[in-house]
Amino acid sequence: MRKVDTTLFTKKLGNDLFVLQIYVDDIIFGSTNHDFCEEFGKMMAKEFEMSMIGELSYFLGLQIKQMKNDTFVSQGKYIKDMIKKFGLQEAKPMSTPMGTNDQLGNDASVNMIDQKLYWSMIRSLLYVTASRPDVMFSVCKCARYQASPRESHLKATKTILRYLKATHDVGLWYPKGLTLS
Amino acid sequence: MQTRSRLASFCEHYSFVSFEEPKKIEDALKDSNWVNAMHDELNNFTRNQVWELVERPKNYNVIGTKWVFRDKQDQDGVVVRNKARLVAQGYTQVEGLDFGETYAPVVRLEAIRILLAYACDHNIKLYQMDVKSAFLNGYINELVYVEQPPGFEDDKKPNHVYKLKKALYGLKQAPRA
Repeated sequence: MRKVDTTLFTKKLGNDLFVLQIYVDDIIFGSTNHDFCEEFGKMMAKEFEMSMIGELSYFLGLQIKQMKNDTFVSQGKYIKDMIKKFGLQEAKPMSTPMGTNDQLGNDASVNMIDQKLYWSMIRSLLYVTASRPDVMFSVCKCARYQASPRESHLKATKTILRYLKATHDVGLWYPKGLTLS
Repeated sequence: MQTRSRLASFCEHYSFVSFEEPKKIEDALKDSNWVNAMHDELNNFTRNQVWELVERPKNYNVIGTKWVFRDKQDQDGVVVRNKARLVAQGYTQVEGLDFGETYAPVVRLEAIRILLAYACDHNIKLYQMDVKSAFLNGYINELVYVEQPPGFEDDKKPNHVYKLKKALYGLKQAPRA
């Protein structure tokens, strides 16, 4: 058991490594030696009632594609559902998440908008930052105005959503064997 | 939009499921589909040895139970299954008396992301699986009594209560189990 992530378990057997990650009732596991994986799967199936054992492809809203030389992580489905949830299916897609000169200030003269809706949008957007560092800045900027959101803030938040709509299939790509030089 | 596959799916399930999610137990008991669903849930409890019927303890908090009725839909939004879940009314539990810590460790998303990157670099292929009805697998340490499920009381022992061996949904200690 590791100190930082207490739900990650690792085991070293000779030169082989076995990793196991638990999220309540979802389990991810893998090993440098394929035999360990098969044995572990059999062991678990014996102990508990298991459903669906297979390659890791969808976990907590993350779509994961494991290929021979790379791994790709995206949240396209989550983004699509989010856009539907906030009723922006018909909205015009944007090519950037935020304008370079957009001013988001605290304007107390205009009325506050529905806070719950704003919070809900921010929360959904924060989850997307897991695979989308490109919207991290704009989402965090909008998140600062949660205490008293105005029309202008809502507009900026919707702009991010429209940008995500246009780029929902973008994600993180981990190529194998690349070193920083 | 009505596609052909959706129509087929609709016809397939039409006669076997109920379309309304009942709000009250009285309404559910009138519908055989929902009665079946409730029987399924209780059979699950028996199979997993979740509880046993005992005499009502004196001076001990007995937690109420409640049925929650949900329709399960497929990706087209067609109702395919009626699911009844018995939950404990955990909000009547008193901290310190009925439960201690309610903290449960879960992983951070960043940690999963690192794991993916690490696995990719080390030629580790990751697999996933999930445990069916996770809560029904966890044993609990505290002594917990719950009322008999509404609509399914034992005729001969109506005043008995269930002593839990494993956690139910809604209990304060459920996520730890």
